[in-house]
Amino acid sequence: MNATRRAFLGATAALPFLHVPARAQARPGYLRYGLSAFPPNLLPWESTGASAGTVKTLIGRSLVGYDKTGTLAGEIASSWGLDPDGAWVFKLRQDVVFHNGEKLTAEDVRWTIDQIAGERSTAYMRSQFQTLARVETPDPYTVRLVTKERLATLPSWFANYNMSIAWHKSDPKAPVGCGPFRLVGQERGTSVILEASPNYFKPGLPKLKGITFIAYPDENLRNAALRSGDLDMIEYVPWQAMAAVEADPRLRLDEVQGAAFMDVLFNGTRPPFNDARVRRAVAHAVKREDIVQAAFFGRGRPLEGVPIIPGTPYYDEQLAHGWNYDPARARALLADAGYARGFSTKILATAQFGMHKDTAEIVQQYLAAIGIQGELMLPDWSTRVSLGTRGQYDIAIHGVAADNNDPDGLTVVMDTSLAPTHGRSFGLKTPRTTEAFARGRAEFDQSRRIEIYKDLQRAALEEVPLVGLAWRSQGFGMDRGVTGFTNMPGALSTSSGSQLEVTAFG
Amino acid sequence: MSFLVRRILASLLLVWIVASIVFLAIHLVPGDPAELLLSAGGAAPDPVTVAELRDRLGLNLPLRTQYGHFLGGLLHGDLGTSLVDDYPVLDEIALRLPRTLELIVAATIIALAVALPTGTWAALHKGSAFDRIAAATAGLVLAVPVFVVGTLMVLALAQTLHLMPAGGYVPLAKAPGQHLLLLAMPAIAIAGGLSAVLFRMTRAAVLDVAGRDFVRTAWAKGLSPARVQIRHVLRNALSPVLTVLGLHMGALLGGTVLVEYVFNWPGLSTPLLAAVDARDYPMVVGIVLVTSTLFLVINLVMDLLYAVLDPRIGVS
Amino acid sequence: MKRLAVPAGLVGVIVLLAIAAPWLGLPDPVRQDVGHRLAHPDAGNLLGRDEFGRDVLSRLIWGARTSLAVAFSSAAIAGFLGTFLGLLGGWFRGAGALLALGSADIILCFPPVLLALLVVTLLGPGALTLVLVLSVLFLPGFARVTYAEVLAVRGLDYVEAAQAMGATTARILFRTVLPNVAGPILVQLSLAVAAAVVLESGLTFLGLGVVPPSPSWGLMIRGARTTMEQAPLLLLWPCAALTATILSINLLCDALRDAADPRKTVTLSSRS
Repeated sequence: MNATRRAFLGATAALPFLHVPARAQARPGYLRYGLSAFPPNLLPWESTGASAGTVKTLIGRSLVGYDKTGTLAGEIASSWGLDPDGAWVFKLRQDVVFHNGEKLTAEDVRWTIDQIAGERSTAYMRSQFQTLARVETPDPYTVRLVTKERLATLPSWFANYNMSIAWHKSDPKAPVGCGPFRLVGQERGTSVILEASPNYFKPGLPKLKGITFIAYPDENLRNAALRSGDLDMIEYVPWQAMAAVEADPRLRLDEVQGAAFMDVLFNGTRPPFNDARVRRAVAHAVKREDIVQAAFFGRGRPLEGVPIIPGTPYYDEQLAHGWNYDPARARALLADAGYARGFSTKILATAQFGMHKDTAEIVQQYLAAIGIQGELMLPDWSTRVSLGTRGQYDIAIHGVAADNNDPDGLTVVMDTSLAPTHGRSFGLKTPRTTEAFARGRAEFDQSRRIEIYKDLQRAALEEVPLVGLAWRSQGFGMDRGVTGFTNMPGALSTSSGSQLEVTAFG
Repeated sequence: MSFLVRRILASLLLVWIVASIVFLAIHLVPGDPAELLLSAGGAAPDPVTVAELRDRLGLNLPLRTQYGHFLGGLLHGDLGTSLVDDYPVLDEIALRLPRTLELIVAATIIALAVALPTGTWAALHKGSAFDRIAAATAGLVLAVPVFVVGTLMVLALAQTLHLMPAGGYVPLAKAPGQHLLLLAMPAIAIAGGLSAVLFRMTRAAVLDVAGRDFVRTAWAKGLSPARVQIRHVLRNALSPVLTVLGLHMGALLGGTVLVEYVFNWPGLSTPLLAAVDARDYPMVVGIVLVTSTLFLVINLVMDLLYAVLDPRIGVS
Repeated sequence: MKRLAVPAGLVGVIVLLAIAAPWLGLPDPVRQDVGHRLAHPDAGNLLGRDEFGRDVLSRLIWGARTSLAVAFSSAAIAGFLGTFLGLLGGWFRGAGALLALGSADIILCFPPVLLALLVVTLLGPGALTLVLVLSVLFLPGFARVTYAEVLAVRGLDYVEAAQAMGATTARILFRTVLPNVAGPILVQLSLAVAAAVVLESGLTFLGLGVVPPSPSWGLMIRGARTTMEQAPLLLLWPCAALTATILSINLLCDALRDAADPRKTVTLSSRS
């Protein structure tokens, strides 16, 4: 194969591939952790899923991160703020050292941003960082980011787990990080072994000597391995097993509501779903409680509006139920749109994930009740992604988490002006929603942001860029002997891997 | 020998055809490896980054060129590298194929150990209670899907009784006892169905052979029952059993998928499934190439064994 | 022939139940009632309700329709094409045989699950795709069995006699050769049906099989595996149905083998 590809992708291959056990023996101070999927690769800036993110957030750290309450907190940056010219300035800690012993300076931050925003980059945050006007490093411990437009949400970019800072002289095949753990071995498809880094910049951390990550793709077996004592901790406790984990005196369930949600996406390039009234009819047609029960065993909540997390300042009780279950209204909306006698359509989902399949089955039944006869199309996940991105569907069932708990984190799922992807409605025009997102990003005043995002909810309820169906909870199961770990609130649950630095036994 | 050479040449041709079909088919299947890699966990990748990655992975080259690269590599014994992490396909197979083979061999040994004695006994005591019960059990075992058996075993032995680990793998050199314990559950799950098939085959073959002239002759010569049963009956009954076994071993090569999944046994099926999911073209084609080659080799060996074992073929 | 009656009757009852499903007065097998999900058996739902609150008995019988239809049609298609290929290959030998058996060997080389994966991802999952996959998987078996039998039969006196009498090749093949090789093919057919029922459940488990909401045994097993701890009986019913069906088919298959092979009836009055 060609050289660039090897240079680029070589990162994980260049790391030590030891033959390590797929079933770890208990060793004092070492955590045995069951992953739901093996990380496809551990390249720091490319998005390769939440399981990879958990491992990556332990190997590398960024300027800021989230603390266990979900608040933005300093990591490499000790402080940050806007300067009088409207640029974001980050002051760096002076005691941060990479795994190879080199000190971290502003130069490393600049190099990392250059890699991410580079012409040939495949980084997750590439498009965001390409909007920067320039990166300045006035002194070795100060980074100044000048944006083309005012940007309230920039610091949160660095909290994404695909944003860790690497040493500026790293071999691009194997970037050197500064996280609490070092990668010491992995067996492809099976396990990853981390050892505590001796020179981590947070004193006294990490508390564990090491972590053995073992992939258990079958949720039944992952659950069985926790309950039989093969593992100390697992992610994504299957919903059907949560009650049993709670009831087990040896185990603890750390469950968080609102971690992710199920939704309906539309193809807006052709009738009937290019008509907002038809989309609203779908929104009012489905009894959400059934999805919570059948797909999530009650471990979730109905979602009858824009997926704003309850309890945050942007949440509005009335707007949150703007798409309440009301079949009569749904039928009226259909009639209004000229489909009084209903129509036939196809519902795209995947049979590979039970929650997608189950949700689709329930949506199908409720759509049939208002006269929309939907035929289920349940290909494998890969085909589902492909069909979604190319708009080869009428309506699709999807499950997703926002980037973070700020309403701006919903941009990736709701801003239909962005390039087509399987996770957003296809070819839909929702100008008021898009405009509200843009206003929210540029606004610094908290009370005005709240108003903007309430406007956004009103706009979205009418324009229907997606239909919310159900929040699902996300749970970590662990031995009671495992302490210090916190499942972070809401959409940040997926980023909770960073908490493993304060996790300990006893 | 010319027979052998012809068989080998024909087999090579078959392998090439199979690899080419898989190469074509997997490229035709919808799904873009670059997009899928960047969409892991439901992320919505920027199309620009997807296009960039496609370019780097060489996916924008015409299919003809990619096929040429594949054949060129094949001639040098190079199966290429994974699109996901650039890991060499051959290394992955070298690590995992022995584990799948170990599972199959262990299952076969268990199945033979169960099926040969019970099958022979059932045939020699045709119509007895033992015969009926064994036959009924065989039917039952054959009918329950292997993933159900596996799931129930995990639920009962690991999760509830804590007698066994809940799947996984440790290298033999590291912890021999643990290794065998972990091997036992998936091997037994596979052996179940296999032993039922072999039981039926053994029983039928023994019955068939027991009625033949040379066995009657042996009886007439006054040989001891044990000697007749083992020397003459079982030895002659073994060849059809072996044929069936050979066919099933081949099928098992790709048929351990569900068992490996349910018990988290890191054999060759898991990366095959993962590679198909990720549209990791070189990995899919490489694994199929190797398993189909192996299948043909097993068949060839079985044919040779058959000739050695069966006196009738051996003589003529 | 008497031996054939019992197993044939058993299979007949199962098939009849499946065919008669619409007239048995069963509750709608796809009608959900999530409020009563996983309900225990009662008068209205003799076997209880599944994870969507659907009637399990009704799904079991309607599922038999799907599962058996898939099994029988795939076995029939494979049997028809495979026998045809085997007949041609065995009769004309040479290039025809090479082509027929070569294509069969190519299929045998594929790990079955991979073949299913490829075909299903290409065509999309569903009962029809499943029939296609299974018939392709079973085809080589039929081709090989027929080929071997035809080779054995073609040199026999009555075949040569028919040739000498100037019968056309087609007539010889279908009137003289086919009836004489029918026994093993029939056995192969029943084996294929049994294997298809099991494979359907395995492929559906991987999400490659029947598309919901139409019930099938494979879908029922997959759903029940999730709720195994809450409602273990849900796993029992489809497994029991599968087992009963396969046992009956196996019985039929053995009886057929006895009936088809006059030599073996003497020595191999197998009941297993």
